Amino acid sequence: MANDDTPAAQESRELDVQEEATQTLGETGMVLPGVLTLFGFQLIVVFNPIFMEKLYKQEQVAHLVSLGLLSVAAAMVLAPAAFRRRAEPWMLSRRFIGLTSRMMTWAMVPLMLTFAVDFYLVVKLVLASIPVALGLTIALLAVFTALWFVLPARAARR
Amino acid sequence: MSPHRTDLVEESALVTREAQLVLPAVLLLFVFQIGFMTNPVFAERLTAVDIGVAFASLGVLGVGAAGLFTPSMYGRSQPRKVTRRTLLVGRRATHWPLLAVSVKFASDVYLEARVVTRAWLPSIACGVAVLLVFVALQVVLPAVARRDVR
Repeated sequence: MANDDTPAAQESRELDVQEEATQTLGETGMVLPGVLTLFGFQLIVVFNPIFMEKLYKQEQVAHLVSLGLLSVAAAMVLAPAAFRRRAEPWMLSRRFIGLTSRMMTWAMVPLMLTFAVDFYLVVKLVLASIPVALGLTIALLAVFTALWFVLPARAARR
Repeated sequence: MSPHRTDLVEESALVTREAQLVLPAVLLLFVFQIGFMTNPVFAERLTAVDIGVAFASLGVLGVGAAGLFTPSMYGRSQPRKVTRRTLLVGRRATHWPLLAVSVKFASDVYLEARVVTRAWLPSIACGVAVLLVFVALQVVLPAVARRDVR
């Protein structure tokens, strides 16, 4: 049975700057490989014959835009490493943590849109129906928004 | 709350952690680049100049990967200690791969734009736009922040 003083009984604990910076950098390390794997597959798709044969020009351009968005997401996720090295070597500050957190949060927007575009293209290729593809993509966007933005915002308000 | 001042060991650990963050990214990009370059469609849809761009970005990425492995090899030459020199080598060696990744992203967006639009100018504009985003976040933002500290 856990005693009230044990770490297991703690409801929450304030992190110091060092702990928070380590945790935030760990989260960055979790997101980055995902973003880059997606980027790699996005690029391979372009050289698949189906891409040119079965997609309309507008859809190909949408794919290109999503690749650009993914690049922006990657730039944002990589920004904290460059920031610390150039602007604040030999320290871990609240400003660095705040910047990392903001970059991670905003990087999720282009990432979410990339997922949506890719999902739309796959659904459209498989079901050959633009309205169904659009409907399912909007549903997917709603799920992403709920889990990545609404849920954390509600938790922060409590 | 005042910032936490890092000592030599902590700073070295942070540089290693940053290298660990970027290394899988660079290697993944490298593998995917090889994947699409060995696809026969790649040579069919792109001109010799575009293929040259793809090879150049592969080379830049290779140099970036080499840079990321450097601190580990350098540190092994000085076992059981962390020196300021090791740290400096580590910082420099892990700084350039970030730029290599920027160049790689820009060139890949350029290549896809070439395939989709088949036009030079919009493709170059797309690549340059991506490069500018990276430069703004990795060079300009830290430089502005450093001026604020001073």
